[in-house]
Amino acid sequence: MNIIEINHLCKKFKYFSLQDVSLQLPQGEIMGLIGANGAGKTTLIKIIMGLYLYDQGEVSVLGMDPIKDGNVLRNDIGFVFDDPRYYDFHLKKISRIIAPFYSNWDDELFHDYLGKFELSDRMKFKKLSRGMKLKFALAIALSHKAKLLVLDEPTSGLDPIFRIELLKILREVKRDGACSILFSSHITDDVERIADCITYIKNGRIIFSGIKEDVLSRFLLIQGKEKSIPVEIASVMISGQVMPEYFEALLPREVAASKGWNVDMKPSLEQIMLYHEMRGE
Amino acid sequence: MLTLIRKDYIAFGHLLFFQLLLTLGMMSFGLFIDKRGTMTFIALILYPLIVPTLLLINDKRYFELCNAMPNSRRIFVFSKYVGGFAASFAIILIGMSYGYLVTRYIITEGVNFSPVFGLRGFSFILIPVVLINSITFPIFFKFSREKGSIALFVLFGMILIGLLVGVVFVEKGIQAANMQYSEQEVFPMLMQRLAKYIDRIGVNQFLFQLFAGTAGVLGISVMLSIWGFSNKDIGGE
Repeated sequence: MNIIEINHLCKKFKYFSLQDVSLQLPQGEIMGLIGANGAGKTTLIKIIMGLYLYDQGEVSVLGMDPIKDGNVLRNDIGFVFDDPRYYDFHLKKISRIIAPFYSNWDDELFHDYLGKFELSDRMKFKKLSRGMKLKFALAIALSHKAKLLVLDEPTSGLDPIFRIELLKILREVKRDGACSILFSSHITDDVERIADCITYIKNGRIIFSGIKEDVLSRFLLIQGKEKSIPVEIASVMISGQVMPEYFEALLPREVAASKGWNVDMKPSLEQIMLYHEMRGE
Repeated sequence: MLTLIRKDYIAFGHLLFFQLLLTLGMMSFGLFIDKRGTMTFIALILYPLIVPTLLLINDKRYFELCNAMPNSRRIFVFSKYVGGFAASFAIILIGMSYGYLVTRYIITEGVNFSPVFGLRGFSFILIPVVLINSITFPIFFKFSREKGSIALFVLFGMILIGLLVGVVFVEKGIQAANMQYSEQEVFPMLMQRLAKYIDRIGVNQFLFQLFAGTAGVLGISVMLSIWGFSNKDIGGE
């Protein structure tokens, strides 16, 4: 069963639009949503949360419509937004405000997470650093036994040690398959580390979406010592760049295979995203 | 809905308390120092009047948070109306009780609070609270704080100008009738006409008509608020 099912979604703004976006998040999986700033990641997440309307297409989250069934649906969704905004009180008071909204709120679990994240419930929210605010938002999201976690740039602003800790927590949360996770990030290392599926969005369009291993294996890197990219490569590459000592280009695997080129260098997710972003520039 | 109202009261309890103190403080000035009814009654109406809109505007920063939780937009809109008006009415009740007790047992000369202290007086004070907030709510549900403030400023300006022009026009129009009036009255012709109308139909009937009109305006306001809020993207304010 797909926890998130989006088909041919379109959403228009004045200067930007999501066009023909389709993706599926299977139950119990972690999906990493990657893209440059302004690509449409947050817009997509807000549509899934029922905060943004959409113009065309179908959106189903946990089998329900995020707008029509939002009051029921969001009981099972834990969220962290890019800029967490909670009332300016002590964390304990904020949790007393938030808890009654969720039927499965677990106060003990909440305090466990606060302890793990080295937060005290006596701290005032507005005095927290950005990283601490994100941790608090995560503690809230993880404390009501959500079936789906929707995290918008959850590792942005976190120190490297806590980032790894968080990724570990997310893996544990999804372990028994009861929880699925969608998180957006432009830190591709984090996505590559824990995601089962990857969706890459650029300028409002999905470039690719699928199981991580499949996605990564669709591309190959080619390098050479020439001072410019040879024409036969330039005509078929996604994009490439010339370094002082060599050139490098990203190719679709099937193109390299069809040309009979002996290329086996596997690009990282960061390189795949980089060369796609460079395409058309 | 109760969870949402409770959230507002916890989050903005300090604002409500401040409005209550302001109301009682200005009423005290009117009762103890000014010793005329004007200041007392203005305080009793004016400060509670803005409470519902104050709660709404202050919560706008957190609309994204609130609507990312298990709520429907419709219930969210209702909670602002119910919670805001309940807070407003509570402040009015406390103010009225305070005014009555002071004028009954402490300062017995000056302001006469007895006519106001009762269901009729309370009902009469409710009407501007409901009417004004019925205009502001749809604007702030549809637009951002900044745009909403501008729209409100323009709207109230237009209403005020329209009222002034309309009243002066009607006043001049009926001045042809040979009516006696005191020069101290504002728009004396119209006030006399209104007084005659109330005498003819009775105060209770007049109040009923006011209520019915107010209820109608409130109903339209709620529908507009739900429509405006349901057809917008939430967040980023």
